[in-house]
Amino acid sequence: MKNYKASILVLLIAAFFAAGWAARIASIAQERAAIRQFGASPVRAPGVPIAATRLDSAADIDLGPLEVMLTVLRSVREHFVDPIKPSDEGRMAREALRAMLASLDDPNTRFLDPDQMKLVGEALNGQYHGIGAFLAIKKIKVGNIQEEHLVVITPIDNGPAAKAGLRPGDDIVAIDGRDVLPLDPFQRASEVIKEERKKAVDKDVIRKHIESETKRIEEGIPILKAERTLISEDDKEFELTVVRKGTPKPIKVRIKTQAFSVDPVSWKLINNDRFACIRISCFTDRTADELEGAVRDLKSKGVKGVILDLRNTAAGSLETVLSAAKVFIPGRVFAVEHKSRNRKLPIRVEQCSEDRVWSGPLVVLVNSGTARMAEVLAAALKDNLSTKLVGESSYGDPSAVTLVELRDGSGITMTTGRLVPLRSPDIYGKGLSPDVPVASDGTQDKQLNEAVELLQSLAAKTMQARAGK
Amino acid sequence: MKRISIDKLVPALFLVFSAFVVGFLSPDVLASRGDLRKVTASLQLLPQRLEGLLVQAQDQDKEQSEPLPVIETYSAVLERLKADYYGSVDERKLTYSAIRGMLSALDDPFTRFLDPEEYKSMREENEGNFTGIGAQLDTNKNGEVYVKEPLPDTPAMRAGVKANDVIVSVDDKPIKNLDIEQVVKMIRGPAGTKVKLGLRRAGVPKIIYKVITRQVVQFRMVKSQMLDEKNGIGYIRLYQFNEQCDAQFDQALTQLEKHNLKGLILDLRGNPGGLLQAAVDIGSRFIPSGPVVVIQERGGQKNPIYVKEEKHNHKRYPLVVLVDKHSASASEIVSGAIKDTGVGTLVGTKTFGKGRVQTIMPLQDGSAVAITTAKYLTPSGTDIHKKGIEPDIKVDPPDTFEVGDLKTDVQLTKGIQVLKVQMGLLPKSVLDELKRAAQAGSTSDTAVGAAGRTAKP
Repeated sequence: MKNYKASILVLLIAAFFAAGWAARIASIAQERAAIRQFGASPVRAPGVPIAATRLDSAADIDLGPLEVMLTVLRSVREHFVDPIKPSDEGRMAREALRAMLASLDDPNTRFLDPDQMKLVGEALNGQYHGIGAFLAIKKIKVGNIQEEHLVVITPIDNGPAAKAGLRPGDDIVAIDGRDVLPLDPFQRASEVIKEERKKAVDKDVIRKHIESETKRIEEGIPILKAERTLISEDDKEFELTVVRKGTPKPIKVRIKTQAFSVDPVSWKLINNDRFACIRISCFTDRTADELEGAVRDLKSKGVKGVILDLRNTAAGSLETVLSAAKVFIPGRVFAVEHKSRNRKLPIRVEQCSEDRVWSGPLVVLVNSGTARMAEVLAAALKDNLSTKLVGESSYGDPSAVTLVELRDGSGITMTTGRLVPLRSPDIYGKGLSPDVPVASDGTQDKQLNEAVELLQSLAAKTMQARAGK
Repeated sequence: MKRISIDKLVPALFLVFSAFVVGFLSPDVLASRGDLRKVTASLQLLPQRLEGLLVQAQDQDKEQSEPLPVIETYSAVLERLKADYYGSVDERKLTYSAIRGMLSALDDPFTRFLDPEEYKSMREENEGNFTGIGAQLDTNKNGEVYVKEPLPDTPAMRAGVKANDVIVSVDDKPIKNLDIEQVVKMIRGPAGTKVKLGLRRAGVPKIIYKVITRQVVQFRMVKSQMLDEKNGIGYIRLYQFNEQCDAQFDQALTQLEKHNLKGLILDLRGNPGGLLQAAVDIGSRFIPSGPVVVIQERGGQKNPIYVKEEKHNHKRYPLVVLVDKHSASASEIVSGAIKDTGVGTLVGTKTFGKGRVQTIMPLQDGSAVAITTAKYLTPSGTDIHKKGIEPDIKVDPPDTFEVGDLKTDVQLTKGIQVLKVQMGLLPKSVLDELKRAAQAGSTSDTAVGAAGRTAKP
């Protein structure tokens, strides 16, 4: 009898142990997801006080606008000809956020539908869809008309866009012959017609312009939809019309879209195994670990110098960049300030053990596809270690963007600050300029060769210094 | 079976619970790889994590399925923006955009938000007057803004502004390269204030300067003339339905009757509508009895609005109504009622198709919201929303023409023929011919979209 009870107890204990284990595993997964929610948030960066960012500016609450909004909602609920359903209200909430954030006119601040949120989450894991490129909606002025263009920040390694030869800075003007329309297509149309009215004498000419603009709008594809299509739809074939700097005529590029994933870090030995080129394709949760692993491998192989290739590397969260940075910059200030509305916060890098750190000669490759957090890393290396940058000017958007998930699976991203290198000038809008400028020849080999040469002289210097000691 | 005593149950439960906790901790311990700090950290976080587990279990079924509450979400995001957004936050602008976005989700272009400025100009339009100098402006082929017509009995007329004067400056500011809306804005202002116009007139070497005092000016909503004095064919064009238009229409009709009016052409082409009341007033002038329009309220209840007897102060004449695809809303109420009751013939092209009534609700801060609150049906009970009204006799407009010009305005000349048939001046066979012509020509439909925004005169 006693044995029987004891065995029940033991079984129970075992069961509860297992249950606890399972619960923790589940909660780890949840926490990962939660971290990803704030993945782009600088608030969680190591060394940054978490509580500080929230509470100071709630004082001036102006109830006016809120009341107006409330009155409108109530009137619609009471009087709209078709009774409002709860699902209508959900849609109204989303559209309200979408329009509200769009009115800030900031490409990094916008509303994301649940499927877009899913894409963001997957991208932070190194999984991509569609043509496989980071795209930006940029304001570009042509003549008197300023309008939004869909511009390639950079294609992603091994993705369809990279294979099809799309380059950073390519301006996608049409998809399958349909013009990509700016946010307010009518504004452009009326501008065009106004310009023509000033020039043209003939009414027929103006009428033709009106007709062609109308046709353009009717047949075109709105920019937000175009962006969405290109980064989400797999297993389709698109023909993109692309305007490229230095190429007089628009080029047509055929791209077959597909889902793919990228290894965040890869490396190869060069120059008779004396040097190595480490390629960071994207910043994901795994990037830092893999980078550490790579550095340890290379050290054990006796490599004398490292080229860090950050060309065509975009996005990523600040945390992953910081973890990657500690491989090179141990236990110091990151040399980057996080400038938000009310304060400046210096960002620190955590201590990292000696065998994981690269302290030998280092050269960084950058180009106009080196964007956002990648350029922050490049700037930090330059400012902290006087690392030389080889290549072209970087993209120029070191905004700190925070991702906030809403209850219904949708979300918003918003610009909460800017990362400012302490010693380099503000790179926002201008990009980080290289120490050794080398234009791309399309194959990128020229830039790599230049980097190898520089590394050789650096390695020679360290040898001399050691010999001198 | 013996009852389990409490002194054994408590330690047993404790053991079971500790097993759970140990199980919960072990993945962390394994992951720490012997790093003691990480173990202590996870121990410290334990209560929080356990609690999180409970909260999550409760929330699981509530999330995802439930739609976002509008106001709460909006104010949460607004607060977040105010606290953390890097850049300036204009609360009013954000809210107005949010309201516009919110209303766009209803998928009804007529339910819309009007900011204080838009609301003000809408009120001016409905009241039918504004303060200004009373000159109709247009852009000529060189892109210059010129006076198309100084309206009768207005400050512009009294100051001696003439048709075709090109405006070169307003208050000594050159207006080159400004578009017509901007010029109109500069010229308008509060009543009693002065504006100085610089005008270039053909044949006059120097720029002419005129200082004009702004006054309340009425929009002219009605244009009338006799087209055919011999047969007594009159023409009235209605630009919009506002508070003034019925009185002006009444006057115009009286004027035409002095010229021996026998048949009437009512031109509703390009008329975007306006006030429901004005439509009922105008409609009452043509419909002998019964409802002019049936309002179907939210919930389906139908309220017919009957003919106003006091509007029957004129004789009824044979009637042709000219319509096109820009004839909307109140225009469609009038033409729909005329078609249904058979008191006139519709000539032209299919109308716009707006069968919804909006109510304008003013808001606390001077803005307003227009909400579609009801549908309207023609007297026979047809909902024309998104369908439009088919004319009795279809006549497509030519590519270029001038409204009211007997040489180029084919719809008008065909309308006159139809009217003559009604008046017994032409044989009935003319109608069949017109119908046949319409069928043959219907393939060459030309569609010009809404790309060009034109300035309001």
